[in-house]
Amino acid sequence: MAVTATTNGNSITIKVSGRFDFSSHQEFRQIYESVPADVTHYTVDMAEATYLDSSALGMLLLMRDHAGGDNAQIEIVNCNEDVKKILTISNFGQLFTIS
Amino acid sequence: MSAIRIDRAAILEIQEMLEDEFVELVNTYKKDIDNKIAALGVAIDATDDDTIRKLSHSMKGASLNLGVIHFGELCHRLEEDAKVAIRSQYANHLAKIQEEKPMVFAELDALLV
Amino acid sequence: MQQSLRILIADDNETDRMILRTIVRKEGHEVMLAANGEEALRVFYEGRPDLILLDVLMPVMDGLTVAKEIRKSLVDDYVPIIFLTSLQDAESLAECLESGGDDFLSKPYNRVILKAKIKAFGRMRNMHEKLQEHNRQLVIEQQVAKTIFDNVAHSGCLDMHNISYSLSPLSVFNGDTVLAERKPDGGMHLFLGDFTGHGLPAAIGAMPLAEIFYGMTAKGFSMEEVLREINSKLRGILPVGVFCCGCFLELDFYEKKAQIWMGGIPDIVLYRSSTGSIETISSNNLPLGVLEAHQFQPAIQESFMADGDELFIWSDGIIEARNANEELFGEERLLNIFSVPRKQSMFDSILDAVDEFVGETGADDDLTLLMVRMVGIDEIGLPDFENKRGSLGGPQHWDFSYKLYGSSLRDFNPLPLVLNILTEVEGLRSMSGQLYTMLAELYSNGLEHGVLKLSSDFKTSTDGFAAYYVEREKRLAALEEGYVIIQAKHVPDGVGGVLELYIEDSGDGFDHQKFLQKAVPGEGYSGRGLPLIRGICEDFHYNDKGNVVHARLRWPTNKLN
Repeated sequence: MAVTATTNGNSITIKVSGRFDFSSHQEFRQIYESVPADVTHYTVDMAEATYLDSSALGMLLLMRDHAGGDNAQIEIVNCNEDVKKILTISNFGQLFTIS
Repeated sequence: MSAIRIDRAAILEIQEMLEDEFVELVNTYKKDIDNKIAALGVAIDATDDDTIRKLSHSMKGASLNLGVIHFGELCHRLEEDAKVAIRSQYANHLAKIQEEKPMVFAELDALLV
Repeated sequence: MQQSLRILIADDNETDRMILRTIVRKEGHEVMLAANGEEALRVFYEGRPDLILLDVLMPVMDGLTVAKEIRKSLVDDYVPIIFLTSLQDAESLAECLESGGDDFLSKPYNRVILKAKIKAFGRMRNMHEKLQEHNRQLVIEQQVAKTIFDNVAHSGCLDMHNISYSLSPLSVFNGDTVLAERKPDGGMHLFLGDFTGHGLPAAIGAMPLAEIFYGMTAKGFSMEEVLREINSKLRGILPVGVFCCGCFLELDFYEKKAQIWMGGIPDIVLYRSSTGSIETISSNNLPLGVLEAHQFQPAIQESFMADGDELFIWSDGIIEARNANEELFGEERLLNIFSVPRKQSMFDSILDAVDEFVGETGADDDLTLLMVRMVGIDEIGLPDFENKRGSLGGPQHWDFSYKLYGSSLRDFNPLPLVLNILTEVEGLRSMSGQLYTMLAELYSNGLEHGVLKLSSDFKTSTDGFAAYYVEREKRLAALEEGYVIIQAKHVPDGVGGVLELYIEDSGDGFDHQKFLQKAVPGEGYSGRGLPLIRGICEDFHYNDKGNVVHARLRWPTNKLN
């Protein structure tokens, strides 16, 4: 599992590959905590994520909290079927823009 | 070229450390070497490579720990040949070991005076 | 200060032993000696040293074999082994470590290095001992915590014969919880929860959850009210990123209805026993503890269940169970079980299938599964709430009047509150199920037929029943005017007491004659509480207009059903 980030103006894209679970906790947190202050738009790219578990959902919530809670603009994109299913049963669409 | 027979600094450190027991250490060493050289003779006659290797390994270790360097080195050569069964050299090594032995013992005895 | 260790020196060279012994003793350690491998093992078992200096090449038994034997015999304990060797090649040195050694010391011995190594491994052994001690402590603490948890989250009504469940004994530390309790009106609440994370954080969250679940369910609160309370509690106490996925069920054994709330949990299965077909129901809520109280809007799904129909709920542990090849059991395999006819129960079939799949690798710790079957109310009876609060009789002589106006009627359910006051009277507590049913019947008559002016003609079929409730919700949401008055009075009488209830609504009165004639239970969906009310009340009547009902109940009574 690996997490990489690219910043472009006021947007950041965080790319997750492999299994997104508790083992990536540290890495993921370091990334969203070191996001420059002028970043307002977050994109989490799941194109290469094969799986996510409930700790990953927890990490997404932590990131959302860090990015301003209800005011956060976070998009989760390129989800495969498995990933989409987990986000859907948890109704994460209510908190994130999922595509 | 002859190597250093005994590492004086090493053995003096041991002597200092063991104090009164040093005499016993030297005597034990000498007895051990005598016994093993005798056993080596028997093993070489029987061309028992494994026993030769083990005996020479043990003599090497004991000697180097005491700082008895050249003698340890001679034992090491025998050990190496025994590992690959270069049997033609066994008697030659043993002769050198036996030749070196009295000189080592004499130097050690000198330390006890 | 450096701690004194007991050190075993195993070396076949007597001179080496002497030198090592002296070095080790001078450092203040205790020495045990062995001249060959077999002796080394014997001294090890008898003397239990803290650290071992072990010659590799020794007669009788070599050092590598000794190290393997020692490692085999130690389960939790850690005794460092430092090999003594004049071997130089990498392969021989690697073999030392593979056989169970921790390090090696080359001949000739360097005193400084030997001392440093003994010190370092002494420290490591020390740390290991502390870790072991911590582990033992942790196990004890977990057992105590488990006992406390079991007292809070007692098994409720999980032992009822229409429920089957599988839960590992330490599941609370896996974050899984299964709860079930009867409602005073005869219904049942069930909850299967799966906290993110493991260990104590998960267990700590489960405690208030269980407490709220049991407390509010027994007091007659609805599923939505219990869910709101749990969500708001968890949101308050859990850190962001920790939450509880779960499925909450409310079963009505009269109306054969399951109300289902699901948040972040895998699809559940409704198994139709008559046809053997299944319906899956998917989660459509955020897990509990994520949203603020004011944002929490539980979406509840509803299914009618015939007697014998079964609902299956699981945490992701079953779906993610792995076999020796690291394959997941998966949802497809799980759903396929239902399509194969079985001799045994479906519940057992699922557990067997998972067991078989996982095989010897057997990590069954996370297999949490819950099944509940719809049955007739006669089959399971009304709940029997034993007296757990141990009050000394409670207040015996009181009365109160409680008037609720339109906007309060809209989104407040006064019944749990009223029931709470009534059941403070110890003699009434054992009847809380019947009291609740009676209150609910009389109150909803007043609210629905009186204030909301709904006709009970709707409720003669399943479709009509559903339409009735849609209309009820609509009118309730628009309610501005009207009121309901609930009055209650309790007077002690000998060893018992008399309870009088008075409920008045602002309506024009409803056709109570028709209601009173409907004495046969199970005929249509309305009026099921009437025989019960007649059974426990010594007097029960409406006023002529039909907007006021009086009921008088005397206890102890021999009329309880």
